[in-house]
Parts: sequence; C-alpha cells; structure tokens
Amino acid sequence: MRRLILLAALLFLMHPVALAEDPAEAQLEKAGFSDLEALSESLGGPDVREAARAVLSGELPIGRDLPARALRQLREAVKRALLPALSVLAVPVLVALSLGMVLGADRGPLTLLCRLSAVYGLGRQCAAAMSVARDGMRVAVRIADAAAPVVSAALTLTGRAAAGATLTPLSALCADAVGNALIGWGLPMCGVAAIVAAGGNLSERFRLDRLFRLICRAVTWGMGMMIAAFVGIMALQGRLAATRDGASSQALRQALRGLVPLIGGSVSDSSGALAETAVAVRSAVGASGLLIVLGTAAHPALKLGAHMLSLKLASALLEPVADPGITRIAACYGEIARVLMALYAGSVLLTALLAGAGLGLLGF
Amino acid sequence: MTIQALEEAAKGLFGICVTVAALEQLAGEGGPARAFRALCALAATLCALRMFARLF
Repeated sequence: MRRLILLAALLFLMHPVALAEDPAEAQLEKAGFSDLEALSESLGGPDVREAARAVLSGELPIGRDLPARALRQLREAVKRALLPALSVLAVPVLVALSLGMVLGADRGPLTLLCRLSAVYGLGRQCAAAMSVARDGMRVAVRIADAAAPVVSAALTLTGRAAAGATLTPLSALCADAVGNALIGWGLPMCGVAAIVAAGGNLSERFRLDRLFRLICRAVTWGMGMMIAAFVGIMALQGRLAATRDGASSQALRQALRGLVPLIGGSVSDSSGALAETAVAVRSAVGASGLLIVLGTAAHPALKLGAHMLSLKLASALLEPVADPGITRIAACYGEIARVLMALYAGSVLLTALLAGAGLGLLGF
Repeated sequence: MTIQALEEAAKGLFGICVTVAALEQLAGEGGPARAFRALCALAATLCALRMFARLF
C-alpha cells in the first residue's frame, strides 16, 4: 500500500514540465516565448532566446562594452545629423552675412527671405524627426501588445494568475496612452510649436517666444502627468494582484498539506521547487521583453538625440556669424527635437514597464 | 478635430507673422505701417486665444 502511494506521488510529480529535458526551456515555450522571439526578429531586434538563456544561467544579457559602443554610435549619429543641419542653414546664413556686409543695416526684405529659407529647411528636418518618433512609438505599441500575453502567461506559471490577468487591461491602457495621447496629441502639438517658432522669429519686434515655451511645456507636463498616472495605476494593480495571489498560493499549500495524507507535505515542497524554476523563467521572459524594447528603441532614440544635439550645436556654432533670427529658429527647432525625444522616451518607458513586469517591476 | 483646428490656428498665426515681418521690411516705420502692424498684433493675439480656446 505504501509503495502504491509512493508510486502515485511519483506520477503526480511527473508533470509535463518535469518530463522535458530542460524544464526551464519547456516552461519558456509554455509561456509562448517563440512569439516574442518572432516579434524581435521581425523588428530587427536582439536575439532574445540567447538573452533568456543568459538570464537563466544567471548572467547579464548585455555586453560589458555597451556604454562605450552606445557613446561611439551617438557620436557617429551626431556627425551624420550635423552635416544636413549645417548645410540647410549654410545658404541663408551666408546670404544674410554678405547682405549685412554689403548693405549694412538696411537689408530690405532679403533678410526675411533668408529666415524663411532656414524655416523651410529646418521644418523639413523636423517633419522627418517627427516621422521617426511616430514610427518608433508605433513599434513600442506593437511590442507592448505582443509582450503582454507572454509576460502574463509567465506570471500565471509562477502562480501569479491575478497579476497576469491585470496585464491585458494595462496593455490596452498603454496602447491607448501612446496612441491617443503621445501620437495623437503630443506630436501634433510639436508641429504647432514648430509653426509658432517659425512665425515668432521672422521679425525682431513681433515675437512669440512665450507662446512657443508654453506649448513645449504643455506637452512635457501633459506627458509627465500621463506617465505618472500610468505608473500609479500599474503599481496599484500590481500590489493588489500580489495580495490576491499570495492568499490563493498559501491556501493551495495548506490544502495540499491537509487534504493529501502522508505525501501532502512533500507535494507541497515539490511544487515550491517547480515554482522556483518558473520564477527564473518569468525573470527570463521579463528580461527578454525589456531587451526587445530597449534594443528596438535604441536606433530611433539615437536618431532623435543626434537630431536634437545637431540643431543645438548648429545654433551655438552659427551664433557669431548668423542672422539672430536664424540662430533663434535653429535653437527653437532644437527645443522641439528635445520635446520629441521626451515623447519617444515616454512611450518607451511605458512599454518597458509593461514588458518588464516579469522582472517584478512595480510589484508584479 | 481639436488638434486640426489648433494646427489651422497656428498656420493663421504664421501667416500674420510673415505679413508683419514683410511689412516691417518693406514699409518701414510710417504711420499706416504702424497702424497695420497694430492690427496684425491684435489678430495674432486673437489667433493665439483661439488656439488655446480649442485646446481647453
């Protein structure tokens, strides 16, 4: 009889996960990790399977030379972006300079034409930067949509079913926040700021500096409040779900100990050991999600950062020789690039919080 | 719709700015130019007000 009970216990423990050659790999598949891998591949992102294996073996899934590599790439990107910015500004600056030398203070309408030419060139670059930010934000929404079910499944595997269930509405909220607030409101406001910056710097006496600053601040404040609200909601949901999951896990362990005679305690301890593997898998899924977000965000972020730095540099470099209006216009477009960068960083932060929920961010 | 109206108001504001700058360069500081500039400034303020009325 005792042998029969031991045999039954053995069969009970031979869960499909335990039967697999590598339980962690099997659990990764069970969480739908291949979907995350396929998404990363389709977006040209990093090799997340390798990253997951590195996390499972206790290593950091990023190279040690990452800061140096990032700095080198930023330097190259700034060099690439500075050339178009300077070439766009070169003609109006040189024309305005020669007019100043030949005609003195009385330059007539040609100064206005020079400023309008600078506005046209910088406006086109600003539209390109906005398009980079918009595409990047859409990719971030796609990653959030794809990562949420996988992270949710990984959380469920560790007995965090309630936490996993809250991720689906949070993913919808994230998509809504990025789609409606950042893409639908923030980017057009940057466009409005660009128009105001252009118009407000054409004349020396008819300026719109305060309106421009107000629009830029409204965008950054609005985005800040939205991110704070999202983080608050996510932290609250995470805490509440953790409480519910903790209670149900405790109840299950007690039930196993109490209801199954002789082997209840062993089964309960074994389930704890299995849960530890599942926690490692959950961390691997979380780290892989974060890696996809950061890996795919790196290129647009570099582009936007380089665009911002190049405009600020161009404005600073041309100040001694350029017409004051042109310098101010370049500085204003640099400020718009900074706001664009902030909007993009906001969308990446929301997605990273969601995709990295497997790592236990914000109480998950 | 709100954002579209905002963009249109901003474009209107840009038009006023170009007009004022052109006037400043072409007409100088004569009496009619000053009066027209004041009218443009009023129109620009109304345009900015319309932008924010749409926003809130």
